[in-house]
Amino acid sequence: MSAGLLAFLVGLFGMPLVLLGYGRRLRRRPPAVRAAFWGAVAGHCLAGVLAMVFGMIPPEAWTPEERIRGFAGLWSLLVLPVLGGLGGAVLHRRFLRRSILSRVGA
Amino acid sequence: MSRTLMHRSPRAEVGGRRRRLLRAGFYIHLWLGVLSTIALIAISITGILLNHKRGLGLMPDVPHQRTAPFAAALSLERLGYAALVAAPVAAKQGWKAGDALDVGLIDRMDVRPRDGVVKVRLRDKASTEMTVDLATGTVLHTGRRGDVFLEKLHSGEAFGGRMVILSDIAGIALVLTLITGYWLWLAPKLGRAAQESDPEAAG
Repeated sequence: MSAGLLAFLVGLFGMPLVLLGYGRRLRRRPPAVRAAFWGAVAGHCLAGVLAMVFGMIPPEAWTPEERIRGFAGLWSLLVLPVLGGLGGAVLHRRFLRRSILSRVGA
Repeated sequence: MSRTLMHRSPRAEVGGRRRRLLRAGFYIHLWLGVLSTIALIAISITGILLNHKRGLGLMPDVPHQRTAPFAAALSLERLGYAALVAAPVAAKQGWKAGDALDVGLIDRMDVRPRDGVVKVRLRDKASTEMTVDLATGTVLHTGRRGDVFLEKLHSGEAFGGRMVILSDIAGIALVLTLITGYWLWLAPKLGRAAQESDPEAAG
């Protein structure tokens, strides 16, 4: 089994499992964790659309130098939710810091 | 706590079992639904595209009238050779006219006696297909079969021969999700109907 296929399977089935586990009792979790969760969900939804669109490119159109199709079709389901989660957490912190600074009046 | 309080009535037990079943059904429905979403959407989209493969031009449609009786058809070897000669260079993989017929290049030969044609599909990336007249060996059409890759994507075979298990998993998940969906819809109604038919026992 190639690394790409393994990443695809983990992204396809493993990532939703992780998100489902992570999403349990979400309201009781800290706001940064909630932001990371929603970021990861958005990343997974986007990756699903990308994987489907790029996956339907017929094989005769594939070229050996092409990296985008491989990434979007196989790796995106794993990578984009992770990036989305990190992005959600980082954005939340930035908003939090901005709102604290505005309250303090700095 | 007294023994009478500890003891649960049969009706309460049935109610408790029903609630547990409902809860289990809900979680099966939720988890399997979320787990199989992307796979099921992909299977559905490829299925719809495959249903309309002729209309979408994924499969060449070559109208042809039979020119001679089936008994007068050329041998499969000669038909295969004629198809390979007419194939695009990229699909031949080094084979040229005059060489012996390389069956390794041919994926399948689909004989249509009623139409008087044979469809020769090659094993290249584009799944190139030549439609050849059975009696004369004339190549009527050469084109790619776009539906072959879609079929492989639909079954999961595009990821490797053993990956048809992906569509199996998605299919089982869909069946379980449908059954639990029905259960989640009907179980509360059944409980309510039982209570209404026996209001005394319901208390």
